[in-house]
Amino acid sequence: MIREMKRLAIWGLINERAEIVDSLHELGVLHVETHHVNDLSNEQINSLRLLRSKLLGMLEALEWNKWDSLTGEMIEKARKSFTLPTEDLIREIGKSLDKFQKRISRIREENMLLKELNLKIHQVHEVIHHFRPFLDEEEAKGMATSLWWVSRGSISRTLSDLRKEIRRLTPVKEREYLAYHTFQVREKESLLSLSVSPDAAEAVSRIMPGAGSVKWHPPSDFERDTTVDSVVAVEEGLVWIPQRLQSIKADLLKAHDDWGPKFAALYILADEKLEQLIVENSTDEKGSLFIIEGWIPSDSLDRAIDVLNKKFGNSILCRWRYPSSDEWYEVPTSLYNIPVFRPFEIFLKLLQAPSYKTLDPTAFIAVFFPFFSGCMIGDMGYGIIVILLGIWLNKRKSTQLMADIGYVILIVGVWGCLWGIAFGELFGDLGYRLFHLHPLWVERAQAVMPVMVFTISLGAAHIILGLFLGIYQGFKNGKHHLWMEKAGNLLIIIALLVSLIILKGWLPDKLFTVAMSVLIVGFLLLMIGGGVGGLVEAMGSIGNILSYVRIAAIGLSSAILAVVASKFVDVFGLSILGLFMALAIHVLNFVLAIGGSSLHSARLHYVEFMGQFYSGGGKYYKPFSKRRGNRWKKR
Amino acid sequence: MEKAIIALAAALAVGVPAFATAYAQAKIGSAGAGTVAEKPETAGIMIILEAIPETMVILGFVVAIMLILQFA
Repeated sequence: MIREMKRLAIWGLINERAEIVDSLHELGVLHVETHHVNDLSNEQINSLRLLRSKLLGMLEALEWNKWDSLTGEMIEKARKSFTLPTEDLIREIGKSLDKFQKRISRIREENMLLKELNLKIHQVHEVIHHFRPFLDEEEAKGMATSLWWVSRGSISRTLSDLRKEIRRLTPVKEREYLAYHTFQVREKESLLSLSVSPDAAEAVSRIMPGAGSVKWHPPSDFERDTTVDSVVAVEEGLVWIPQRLQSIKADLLKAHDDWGPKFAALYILADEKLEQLIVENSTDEKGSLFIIEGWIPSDSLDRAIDVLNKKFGNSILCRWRYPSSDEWYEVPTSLYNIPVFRPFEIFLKLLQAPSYKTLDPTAFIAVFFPFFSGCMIGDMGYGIIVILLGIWLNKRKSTQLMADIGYVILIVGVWGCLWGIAFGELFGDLGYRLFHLHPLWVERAQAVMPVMVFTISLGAAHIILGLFLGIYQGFKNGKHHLWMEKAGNLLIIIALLVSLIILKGWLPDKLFTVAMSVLIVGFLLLMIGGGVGGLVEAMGSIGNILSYVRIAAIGLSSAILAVVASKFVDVFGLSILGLFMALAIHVLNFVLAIGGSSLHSARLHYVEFMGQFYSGGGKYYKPFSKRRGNRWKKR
Repeated sequence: MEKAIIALAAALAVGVPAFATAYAQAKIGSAGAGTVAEKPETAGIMIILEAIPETMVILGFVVAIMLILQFA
C-alpha cells in the first residue's frame, strides 16, 4: 500500500537553523525538495564537493567498490571520530588525502614501469638465452664478446670482411681468432654473437657498423660493461622484478582492504554533510526566521513533532496539512507492505513509481506472480531445485536485491512443487516410473484442454480484478472517465463470458437477454468514458484474457520436454549416454522453466494486469536522512 | 490424407505466427540493445517488451490445439 503523506512546515530562528536541520537529518523522515541544488554555491559547499570528488577519486585509484560490504557500524565509527568543526575537518582530510594520493600514485607508477620492464626483459631473454652457453665459453677463454643485429643476407659477407681485418691485425706468427654464433629472430633479421681476441675488439666495433649492423643493447637498466654481464643482469631481473611486482600488489591490496572502507565511510559522511548544507542553504528566510517544508508520512508525523518540540521548545513552530488534489502529482510515494510481500516491491523498480493516491500492486503481485510461475514450472523436482536456489540466494545476502530475488524464487519454487503435486510430475514422468505417482488433478501433457480452460478462466479473473481496481481508483480519485471506461470494459467482459456459458448450455437461455443488456450498458459506459479508443481497449482486454493461455502452453512444453528426457533412457537404456542425454534435457528444461516462467509471469502482470489500473508518474519518497544501517544501500 | 491436412493446418497456425514473432522480436531486440546501451536502467522494460510479440505464437498455439482436438 501507499502510505498517507502530509505537508509539514517548520518555522525556526535563523541562528538555530543548523541545529534544526541537523535534527531533521537525524530524524530521517522528512522528504525535502531542494530546488536548484546545483546553483547553490558557497565556500563550504564547494570545499565539500571537492573533498567528495577527491574521496571518490581515491576509491577509484584503490579500485574499491564494495559499497554493500560497508556496515552501519563503520560509518558510525567514522562519524564519532570527527568532532572538529566542518572547515577544519575538510582541510585536515584534504591534506591527508593529498599525501596518500601521492604515495599511491608513486606506487602505481612504479608498478606500471616494472610491468613494462618485465615484458621487455622477457622478450630480450627469449632471444639472448640462445647465446648464453656460447658467451660463457668464450668469456672463460678470455675473449671479447659482443652481440649485433644483422641482416640475414649479409652475415657471410660481414664475417668475411671481419676475418680479413682481424687477419691483417694479427701478428704473422699467430693465428687470427674469430668465433661466432647466430640466431634468426625474424624473417630477415638475425642476432650475431662475435668472439674475438681483446686486441681485435676495436676492429669489430669499427667494421660492424660499417657493414650495416647495429650493436645489441639490453634495456638501459640492465646495461653492463660486458655482454655477459648484461645477460646476467637480465636474468637477475627475471627474478627480482616479479618479486617486486608481487610486493607492490600486496601493498595495494592491503591499502585497498585497510583504506577502502575508511574512505568510503568518509565519502558517505561528506555526502551527508553536503546534503545538510544544501538543505540549510535552500530554506526560505523571513527576517530572523526561516522556514523549511517537506512531505512526511502520517505515521511518522507525531514522533517528528514531539522530538523537535522537546529539543527546541517554543523557538520552533510546526504546522502540517493534507496535500490538496492539485498537489498529488508532486507528493512522493512511500510503499509500505507487510514483510511477506515486501520483497515483491522489486517488480515496481522496473516501472515509474506509482503516483500518490493510486494503488500499490505489490500485494497482488506477491499472490499471483508465484502462483502463475509455479503453474508453468509444475514439477516437484524442478520446484525443489528452485526452492534450494531461492534459499541460497536469500541466505547469501550479497545485496538486498539478491536477497529479495532469492525470496521471490523461493515462493515460486513452493508453488512449483504444489502444482507438481496437482499435475503428478517429478522430473517429468520419473515420479510415475519410480513411485507410481499419480496427478492430484490432471496430467497436463495429456489433458491439454482442461488446463487451457483453467488458465483462461484464471486470466479472466485476474483481468476482472484489475478492472475492479481501476474502477476503485477512478472513484477514489474522482476521475469519472476512468471508472466509466473500466466499468464498461468489465461489463462487456462479463456479458461475453455469461453469453459463452449460456451457449454451452450451463445457464438458461432466458439470461441471454440480460447478458445482451449488460453488453449494451457496457458499450455505453465505455464510449462515455474512453470514446472510440475505449472500444479498441475492450478488444484488447479480450486479447489480454486469451494471453493467459501461455501459462498452459509453456507448462505443456515443459512437461513434454521432461518426458522426452525420460525417453532417452528408454532408447539408450541405463547407459552413460542415456543418463547424460536425460540430464542435459532436464537441465535445459529447468533453465527454460525458470527463465520462461518468470518472464511470462512478469509480463502477464506488467502488461495484462497492471495495464488495467496502474499509473506511474510518481516519485519515490527519499527522506532527508543520515546513512544509518543498510537503508542507504541501493535495493 | 485428412489427418495430414489437419496436421499441416496446425503446423501453419503455430509456424506462421512464430515467424512473425521472430521478426518482431528481432526488431525489438536490436532497438532494445541500443536503448540499453544508452540507458542501462531500461533493461528490465526491454526484457518485457521483447516478450510482448510472443502473444501471437500463444494464440497460434491455441488455434492449433483447437484444430487438433476438434478435427483430428
